[in-house]
Amino acid sequence: MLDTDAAIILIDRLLKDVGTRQDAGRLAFAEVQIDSSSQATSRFANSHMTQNQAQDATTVSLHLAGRESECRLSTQDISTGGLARLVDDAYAALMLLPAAKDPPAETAEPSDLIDSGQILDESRYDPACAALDASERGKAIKRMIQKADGNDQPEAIQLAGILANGQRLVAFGNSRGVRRVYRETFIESSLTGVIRNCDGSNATGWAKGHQTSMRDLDLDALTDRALAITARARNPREIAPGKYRVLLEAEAVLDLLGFIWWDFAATSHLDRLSPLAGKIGEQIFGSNVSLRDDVFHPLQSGPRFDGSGYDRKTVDLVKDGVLTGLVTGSRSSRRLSALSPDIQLTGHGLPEPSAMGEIPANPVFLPSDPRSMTIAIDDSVPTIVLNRVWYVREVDPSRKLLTGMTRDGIFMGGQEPLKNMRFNISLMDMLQSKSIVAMGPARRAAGEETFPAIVPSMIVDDFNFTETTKF
Amino acid sequence: MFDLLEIALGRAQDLKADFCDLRLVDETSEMLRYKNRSLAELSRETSIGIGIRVLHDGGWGFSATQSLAPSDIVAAVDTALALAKASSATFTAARQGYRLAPEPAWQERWLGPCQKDPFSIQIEDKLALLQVCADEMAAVPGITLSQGFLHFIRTDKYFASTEGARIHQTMYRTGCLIEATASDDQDIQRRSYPCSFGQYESAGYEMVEHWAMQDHARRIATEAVELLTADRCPEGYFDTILGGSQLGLQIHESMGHPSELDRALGEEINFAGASFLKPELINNLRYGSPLVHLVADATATGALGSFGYDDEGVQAQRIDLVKDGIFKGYLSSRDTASILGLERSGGCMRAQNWCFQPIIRMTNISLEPGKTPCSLDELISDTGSGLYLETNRSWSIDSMRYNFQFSTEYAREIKNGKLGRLLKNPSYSGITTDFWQSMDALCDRESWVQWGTPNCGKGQPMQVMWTGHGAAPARFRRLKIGAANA
Repeated sequence: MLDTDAAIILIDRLLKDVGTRQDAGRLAFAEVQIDSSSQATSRFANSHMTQNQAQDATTVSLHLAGRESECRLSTQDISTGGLARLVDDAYAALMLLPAAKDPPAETAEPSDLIDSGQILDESRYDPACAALDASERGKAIKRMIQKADGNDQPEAIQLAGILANGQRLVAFGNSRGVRRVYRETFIESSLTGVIRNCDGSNATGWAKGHQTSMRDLDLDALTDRALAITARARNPREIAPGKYRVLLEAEAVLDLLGFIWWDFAATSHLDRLSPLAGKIGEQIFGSNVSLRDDVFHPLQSGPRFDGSGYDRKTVDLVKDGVLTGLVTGSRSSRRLSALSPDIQLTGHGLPEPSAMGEIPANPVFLPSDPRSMTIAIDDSVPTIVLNRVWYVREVDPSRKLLTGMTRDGIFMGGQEPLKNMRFNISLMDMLQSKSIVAMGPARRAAGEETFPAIVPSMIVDDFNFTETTKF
Repeated sequence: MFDLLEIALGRAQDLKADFCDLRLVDETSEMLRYKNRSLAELSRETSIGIGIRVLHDGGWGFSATQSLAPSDIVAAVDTALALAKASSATFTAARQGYRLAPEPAWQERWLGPCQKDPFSIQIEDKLALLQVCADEMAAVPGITLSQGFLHFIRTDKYFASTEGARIHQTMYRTGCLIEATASDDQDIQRRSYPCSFGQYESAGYEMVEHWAMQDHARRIATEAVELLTADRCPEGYFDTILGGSQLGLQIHESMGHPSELDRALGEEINFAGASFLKPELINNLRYGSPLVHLVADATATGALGSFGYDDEGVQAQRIDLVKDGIFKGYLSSRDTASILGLERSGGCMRAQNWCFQPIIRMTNISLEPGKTPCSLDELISDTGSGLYLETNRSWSIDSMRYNFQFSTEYAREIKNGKLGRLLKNPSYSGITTDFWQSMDALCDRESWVQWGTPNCGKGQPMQVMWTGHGAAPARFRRLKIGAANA
């Protein structure tokens, strides 16, 4: 993968080439984005390694904006010839395009940026994480498998999962002189324990962690958690579907909330695809719900600039249940500011041109009172604990009605294993004060439906299970 | 290109790797996306690189590099071998390593179908089509968002192995979509054409012309607006006809995924899940009614999941998964076929691109059409009363593939053998085998379409794959409707 110097040299060279072409005078600006990554994933199942992969890839994309049209071309051929072709093809495409009704997005100027002199951000780069190699991953997996083998249960537990690590570089440069580079590392492990039930079927338990630094992911603790959930999940019983009080572990909360993140993007409001459209300043959730997009949060990850090079700002999305803000990119902020002068550019744009616009990439749920969780668990109302939700999909966008399944650990009262169930719930209802009984402290959670975010575990009432399944 | 691959194979042989195969993938794509009567996106991507797979002492290693410099290719082989050795160290006498089912070492050139190279069509012509569609949709009062896209991919794939295989394949894939959204303060409704998320085929620009989106743009926009004020679909048990594209996704989720042998063996249990189809159920499970004949057909001309050879050099095949309603077999690879004692892999190994290790993927998992002549109108007439549902809106199924719930964009009441009221927010749910056993009629080949699903996710890291699903409208007795709104 590319290092910082190589990325900057490549950006400079590409923009210089763009600027010396015959049609350069017809450009409003040009942008280059580089995404370079190196990652390795060791996969195992049935207590042996099934795949062991190492991938290295760099993509360079060039955004040419004329005064009335724009296009983006990308390539993984970063040879001199490949990059020259990229410029050739981008100009050729741009010259063919008719004038757009919506003029091109803007790009960052050095004067727009708080730290205009700061090019490199590697505050989330852990050299130990980047250096973890195949043999070390193999040893770590062997230790996990040995833990499973040594588990003191009436039935053996087989372990499956992944241990992955890697690094990523995101670099941005434009013809206005902005240069920004972000490097981060990651380590991830997702573990599933499998145990045989008395009837010959299997029960499973799961735990997952994703961090930017080795020291923040305790593989032993993660393995212990997966094994403990698996052991507890053995011999589940079926209960009747219906509305129950549930404790959603943070990973389950995340995989539900992931379906509402884009509703805080200005483009979803402009396109009238969100039920929150036109409700800024209104009470949309319970007063115990506050959400923020905050790339600077110590548990967050990702670059502090957006696809157009602008600084990513911290945005209060929901405060005490009131919709207080939206994230914007340069295009949506321009369109929305024509309607409401309070709308500002927040630096959340995706690389332009983009039909989707922007995304709050760093959500942080601010629990109102983490102590309430302890109080609620002592309550006399039976509570079902959900370890993981699965295959969540939006059924009705106007109500944020979601369906999905439970998986890998569902327990009555936290102890008695249950067979899995299908749920249909409205996020708009679930996030009301009358539904939320309690919240735990927010932590970095990693699920399967969306990117990691900072969310709490949560106890909610009237969680609607509509059907059962056979395991 | 084969010269580069020979360098890698030579290195693998020098290092005495038990087996090595390589894929050099050179891909170009173009996406044109319209939004509200304006071009929202023109993007083109080129991608080239080599994926190297090594099997050594029963353990797999995979390395990928986009550098075509010989020294980098050699280094990638070394990495793959080191990874394979690390994998093999996790095997014990009780846990045997992987072996490969035999396959001839093919040396072939294969060209996928393409009558009109989409990259040679003038960009003005492509934009003109999207503009006409956008104008048609925008002309319908009440439409709040109209979108459309054209998507073209050309792939050249060079495969070589230490067994002597040398295969070069060229394939085109083309996709198209228009969709109209109507929203008010209470509701958001969408209609799509040819199907939700876009129809994709292994074809050139001729498929775009075939689907004639411009002729359907005004209709779907009108339907989206009408859905805002339509009655809600009732709840209960109804005889229900599912439209072809919806049935295609049903096949994908409830037959395609559970028949993947890696899932059945527990190798995907951490993310994609497992399967209720255990090996001992082959020839012993009534999966569906006697009308249900499901095949995995990688040889189907023009279908999205077709190819000449899979990503481990196994020739494309047509395999029965369910015949006369009985479960018959799996989608497999060379290593999983060996575990099950099969004579040969089913030829289902594919990777998203050079950067990923191949895994078992669906090819074209299709429900064979009815043998008795039957059109959709005749099926509706024969149904008397019930529901007709079409075009997917959401989909979800459990991790063993028993319980599912789907919703569709559009429903019509069937009354006195004719289509009646428009109904909104339809959903249905059930258990896979119960569902397929309730199928009692389906349309014939005239109504059968090879639907393409371009976004099937599986694997870690996640890979997205192209799959095809041939289906004609079919009828299911007493299907459970409306659980989503219960």
